[in-house]
Amino acid sequence: MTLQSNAARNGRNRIRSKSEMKKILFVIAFCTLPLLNFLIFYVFVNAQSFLMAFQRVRGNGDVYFTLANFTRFFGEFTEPTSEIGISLRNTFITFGVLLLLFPIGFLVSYFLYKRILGYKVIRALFFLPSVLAGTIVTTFYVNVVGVDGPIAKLVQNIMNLPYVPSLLSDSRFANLFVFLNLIWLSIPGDMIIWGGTLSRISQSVLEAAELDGVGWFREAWQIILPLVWPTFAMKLLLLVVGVFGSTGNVFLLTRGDSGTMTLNCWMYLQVYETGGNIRSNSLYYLSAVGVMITAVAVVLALVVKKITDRLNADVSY
Amino acid sequence: MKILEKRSVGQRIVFAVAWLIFVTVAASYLCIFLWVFLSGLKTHDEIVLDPFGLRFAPQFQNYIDVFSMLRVGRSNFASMLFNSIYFSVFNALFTCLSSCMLAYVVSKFRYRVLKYIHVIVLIVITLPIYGSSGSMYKLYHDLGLLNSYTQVLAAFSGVNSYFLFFFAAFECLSWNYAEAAYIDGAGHTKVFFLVMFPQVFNVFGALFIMNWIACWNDYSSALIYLSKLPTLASGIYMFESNMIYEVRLDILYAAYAIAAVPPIVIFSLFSNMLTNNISFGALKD
Repeated sequence: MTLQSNAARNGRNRIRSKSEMKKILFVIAFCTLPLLNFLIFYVFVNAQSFLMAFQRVRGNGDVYFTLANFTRFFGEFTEPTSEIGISLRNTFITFGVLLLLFPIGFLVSYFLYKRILGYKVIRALFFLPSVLAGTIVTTFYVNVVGVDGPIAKLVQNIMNLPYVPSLLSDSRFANLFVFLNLIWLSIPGDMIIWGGTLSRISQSVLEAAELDGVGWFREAWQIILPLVWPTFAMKLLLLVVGVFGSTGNVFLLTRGDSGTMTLNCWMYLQVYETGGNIRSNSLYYLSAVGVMITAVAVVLALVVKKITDRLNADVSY
Repeated sequence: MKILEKRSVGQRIVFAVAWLIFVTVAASYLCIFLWVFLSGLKTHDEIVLDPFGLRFAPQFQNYIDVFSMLRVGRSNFASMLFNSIYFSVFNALFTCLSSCMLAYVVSKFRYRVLKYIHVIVLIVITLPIYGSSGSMYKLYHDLGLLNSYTQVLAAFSGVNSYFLFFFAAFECLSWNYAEAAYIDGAGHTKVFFLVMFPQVFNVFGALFIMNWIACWNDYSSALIYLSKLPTLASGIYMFESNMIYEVRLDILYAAYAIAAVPPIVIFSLFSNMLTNNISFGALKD
């Protein structure tokens, strides 16, 4: 009996270990490619970027370690008219605009969720700027605010100018019209995320509130917002930690000319303008600026995470 | 109209103001596509003289001429179209598939090491790292991925925000379905592809379409990493930038209009799938 039961136990163990082995192999098979990709295109890239921040390239192609990129950054940073200084200022203004538009985006989805008249058509049209290529949208906008468009003439009349101003190349107006473009395109907000989140709210909760005579504002502020708070907190966190990436369609509208440069556009241009030359010192300087900004952003992210967690301990991602 | 009747006077005023603003903004968005489409029907001179004029004889030939006249370097319209389809489909597919696979094992298999992957994804998403595009460019160059069709392999990364959507979807799925399949003799791969994956297919489809539209319209990465294999989005931009000696705005706008059609059609067909299946974070109880 004992021998038989031992054999049975051994058999079961063998089957169990075989099936466990299959399970482990399956998990490894599913994780290997994504994790390998992550190691190469995220971990290695960022580690290399960190090293590049402390390097420069000589004329003969030799790479050497130096702090020159950081010296250059602090030198340019303290100059009021430097491109980096202007970029930082515009980035913060853009962030401010996006922060103001954040609750508006939520309200837009709320009104559509409440089935405002023609909400299906409005919702479909609100998706157009994200469905159409940025190049198409900006070409239209460039023509609307261009010298042959209606806006430039309006500005000419209001400001009593002797000529029709070129709004995107005149430094007095360029920034304003880049921000207006951002506002115009950002009004719908993130309808996909908000739409999906709001659609999961139980109708019975809202019906009970309606029976109690709760108005739309209280419903939005005191019922819906607390219900979707985890999403709200996560999106707000992502917005705040992405502060240095805040930008409008600067590259397409002005390429950063006329005082419209943002950090995001500046960083993009550092790579774009090398024209394929991987020995360009611009790439190494870009890494140094990136290291500086990332250090600030990481601290900011931790602070914001702490605050949102304290506001609501139940936030889950 | 019943909904309107239910609302108080104050609510009606607020909703009417919101509606007015929404309609104005929505109409301005509609103008973008109409303007590009109509401009593609004008002659070059008509566009230059009056970009918003509505009196013109439609030049449907522009939409045919695009195929022969839109050229950037060695690429013509057909090759740009092929590149757009190739890169947008494979980038979107690989990104979604890898995130889905990773999220499945992290969500459904209880190994301690897998929990760290979830933490890594959260860290990667919430802690932004700036200025690594120079390093990325260098790596693409060193790996021979610049201007190469193999570049799509870089999209096979599951550590991104899509992971969270799939993770949430799998967390909501009961494991009983899988157990029933295991009892019937199915293996892990069969359970994933035939039992669990079909149940999150709506989420997969929504994320795939969202990603595909973004890839189709992406000009910025294509300008840097695919300058010799232009997609429609980057190719048309390059065509516009190179218009120094021969300016053909009619061809440019016709090309814009053609490039805008596929995402609009796909979005129109699957808009419900997009808007109802994606949510971020949890709802409070």
